Amino acid sequence: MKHLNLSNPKCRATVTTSLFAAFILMLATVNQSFSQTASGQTGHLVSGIVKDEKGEAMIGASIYLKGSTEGTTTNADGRFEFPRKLNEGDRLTISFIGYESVEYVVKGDADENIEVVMKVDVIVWGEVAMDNAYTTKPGLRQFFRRIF
Amino acid sequence: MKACALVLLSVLFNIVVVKGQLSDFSGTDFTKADSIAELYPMHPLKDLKVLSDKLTAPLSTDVEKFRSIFKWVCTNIENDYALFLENKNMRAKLKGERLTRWEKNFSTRVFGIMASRHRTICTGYAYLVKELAFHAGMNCRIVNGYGRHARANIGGSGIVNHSWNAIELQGKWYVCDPTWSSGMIDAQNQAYTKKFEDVYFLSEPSLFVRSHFPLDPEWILLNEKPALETFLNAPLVYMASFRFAVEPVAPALFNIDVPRDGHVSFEFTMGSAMTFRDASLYIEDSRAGDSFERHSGDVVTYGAVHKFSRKGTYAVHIVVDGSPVLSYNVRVQ
Repeated sequence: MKHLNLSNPKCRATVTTSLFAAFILMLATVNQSFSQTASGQTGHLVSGIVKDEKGEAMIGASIYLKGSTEGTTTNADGRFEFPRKLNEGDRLTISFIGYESVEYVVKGDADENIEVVMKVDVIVWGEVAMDNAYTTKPGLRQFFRRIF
Repeated sequence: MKACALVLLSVLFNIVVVKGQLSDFSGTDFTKADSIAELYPMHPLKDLKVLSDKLTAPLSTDVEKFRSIFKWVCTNIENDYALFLENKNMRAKLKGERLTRWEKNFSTRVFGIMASRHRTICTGYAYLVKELAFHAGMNCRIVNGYGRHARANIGGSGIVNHSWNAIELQGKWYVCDPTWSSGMIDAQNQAYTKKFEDVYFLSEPSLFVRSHFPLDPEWILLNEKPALETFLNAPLVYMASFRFAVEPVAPALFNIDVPRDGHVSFEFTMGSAMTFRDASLYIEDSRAGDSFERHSGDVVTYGAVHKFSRKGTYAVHIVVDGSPVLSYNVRVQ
């Protein structure tokens, strides 16, 4: 087993450097733990506004974290703030009946204020189901034959 | 002759299925999915994520989840006949920019009515299915195209009039029509009757394309696609055609011209596992029906020959167990 000789200045310098590095690492860990404890979670806040194609605020649009039941809705000004901090890569789904749902991927690690524009991307068609048998428009002769 | 007709039919429709159909899930019992759909009658539509979670969370497979969504939409949303008529009339009346402007406003109104009254027209059904499936993590599309029945898209150049869905399940695409599964309009009294029919749920694509022709041919879901012209001029099919898996053999076209006292041979095939009591040929204006004979061979076909002895135009129906499965229009010169 090799013993440290602290009387050797070279060896003493190495130990001092190692202790300093360990101290810095400990400080960083304590800082991170503290910030997690303070906020209860990591990540950053995502807030924003939801508008329609005309630029009008949409009231009551739903914003969910994909794959979960966590979410919120837009207020009377079309604004929302997601109720907890999110991480890069988290996906939000924004929906409102009659509009195409939008998926937003959370970026970077700074708080975000996003603007979502929702589109009515469907043309409404309306054919109904009809299972009545086909009938012809009878000619004059057939018409009288059907009556008599 | 029979062989020629079958070849002709396969050339016309090229019925090579490459995509999915309900039989892919023959081992799946939809009882639980259907029961879950029944738990939330008239659930509000304000937050579709909440509804989607309720309909799908207790189910383990995507096909069951989709079934629950489909069943809920079909049984909780009613067809609005007044909106249907307005849509039809305005589309006939407006063109260009005026039509586009009207479409935007109409869409907003249709979805508003759907949210508040659970009533809509076909795109509303397709939209709801798509959005609810989206929230359940499934890939679903709205498909627009030509719907064909006794009052629509018979011959002519075709009118785009309908929307349905395509859904991806286990890496395969399937087609379904929630509007036509929810109930139907009776042409006689012009009233909508609500009744769930699942023949349009994950339908066999070669049958589905006989009444649904998409604007984007990719959604035909067949290797080789029939032309729009073939679709518009083929014999007319009905809901019961799906139930009995009926395929017309001859004649291949809806409109048939025949001289007075001429004979027309009608022939069709049926799904191999199908059983039925009676198949008859009914000619408009006549009371009795001709019976079909069974012809055994590589493919079992059913045939009947009718002599047309009076001038005029006649609707001819092939009726199986009391339901029409195929119709033709015969002009006797």
